[in-house]
Amino acid sequence: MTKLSERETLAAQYENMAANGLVDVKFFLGNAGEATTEQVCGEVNAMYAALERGDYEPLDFGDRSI
Amino acid sequence: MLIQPEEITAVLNKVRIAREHLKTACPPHDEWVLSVMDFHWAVQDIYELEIEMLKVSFSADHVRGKVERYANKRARILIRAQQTPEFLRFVTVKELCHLMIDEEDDWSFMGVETIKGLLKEWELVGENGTGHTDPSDPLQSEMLAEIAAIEMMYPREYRASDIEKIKAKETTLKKIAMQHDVPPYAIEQAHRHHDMLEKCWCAIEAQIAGKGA
Repeated sequence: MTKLSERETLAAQYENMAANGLVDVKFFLGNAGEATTEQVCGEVNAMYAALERGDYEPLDFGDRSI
Repeated sequence: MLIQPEEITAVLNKVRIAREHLKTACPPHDEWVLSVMDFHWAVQDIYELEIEMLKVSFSADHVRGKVERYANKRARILIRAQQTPEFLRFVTVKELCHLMIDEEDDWSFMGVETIKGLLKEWELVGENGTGHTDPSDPLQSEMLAEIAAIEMMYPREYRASDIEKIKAKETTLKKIAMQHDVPPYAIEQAHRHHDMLEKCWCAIEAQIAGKGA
């Protein structure tokens, strides 16, 4: 079986998420001048893999006043 | 990237509304530093959204964060855990700004296309100093969200005097960045685009004055 490229994997991920209600996705990239699409898609795929592994925690800056 | 002044003015007006909402709802606090969690509350409250925010541990050189918007008024912000505290704040605020400023025309779930457009933008800026002359709505939104984040974290009232102080060698970009708890990059961008941003703010003030007259 042919292995999907990182961009194909990510495109499939978003098609699947769109079928479940995703309407928009935006990114914050750093040092993008040195990056390729395949690299960046690979990093986003790595982010989703980390989520699946449970490697995340709620983001709270502890500065709420309300 | 070339962006029409009217688009920037519309974004700054949303920044103004958010700041007024925070000022009305929040107790007096440190005016130098934006409370990210209060801003999170304000975006949820104004736009009737439920926004989950997660810090994710993964290795990356380029991806700092992302935001996903869903049809049911929910959104999820995912931020790479391994970055400096001031970048954690800035990236989170930028992603919250997408939820504040983006209209339906700016939405796209075709994330790979958005990534390709962003990388092309960096390449074009390297070549012609300007970038895309006719950017797509989702691509333009990336730039506008950064402008909005800078405005939220480093408000205009500080900028003119800070620019003068830097010229007089009374302060530095780094010191100003520390005062506002943002990356120096954000201060540098604000100063670089100061004149253009001021024109847009003046247009908003004129609109408000016109309505009041």
